[in-house]
Amino acid sequence: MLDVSLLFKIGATGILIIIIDKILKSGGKDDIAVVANLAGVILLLMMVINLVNKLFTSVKTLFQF
Amino acid sequence: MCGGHNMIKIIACIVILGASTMAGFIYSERLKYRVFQLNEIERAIYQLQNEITYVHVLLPDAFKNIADKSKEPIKELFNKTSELLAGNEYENVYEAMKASVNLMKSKLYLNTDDINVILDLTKTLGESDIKGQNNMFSLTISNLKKQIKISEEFMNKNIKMYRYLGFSFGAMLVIALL
Repeated sequence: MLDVSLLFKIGATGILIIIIDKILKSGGKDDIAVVANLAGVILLLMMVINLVNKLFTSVKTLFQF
Repeated sequence: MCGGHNMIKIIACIVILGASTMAGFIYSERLKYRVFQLNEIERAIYQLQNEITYVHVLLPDAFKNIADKSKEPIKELFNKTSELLAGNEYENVYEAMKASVNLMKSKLYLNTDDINVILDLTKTLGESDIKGQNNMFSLTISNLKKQIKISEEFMNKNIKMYRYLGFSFGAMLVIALL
């Protein structure tokens, strides 16, 4: 079953990353803003990596008769 | 999931959020302290100039006098310098000042540029006549004014940012742990 709470988590993280990016850019720290964005993207990837892994294994089993 | 377990989770999240927000506030306070300490040092150096040019006091006593009129931790910084100078342990004023700055490092919220301005003054202190020293004093004061302006601009720009960032990182942590 699809875990709905994970979707909410991803959404909230996205909003927070946008806020942090805006704060850092308004403070004139554009380079740190880029790093924070990157960290957020990696954080999100780590959240969904299990699902992606599951997808790949199911695709693999689909083609192995 | 039982109710008690959920409750603990919520409380832990609030604690994390509160702690990170407080960390942001505390960090932003450091910027305020830097401006305060620079202003205090500027005032102290004006007084030191008066002590040297008009009262002709010996340097250890001059440092002692300005320490009495300053607030903590600048008071302690000049007190230490005065003690070190009076103890005759160091070759010159620069060495003594450097040693006392190192001793006070944890209480001073100044960066290396700020400290260098003060140390540059002490390099020539007591090594020329009153006119020469006055020139050095005016140079130091103008440099200090520059540093104060920079630190005030930095404070106004960053004080809000650090507060928001503290809260945002706490919220991020809570979401990641949830």
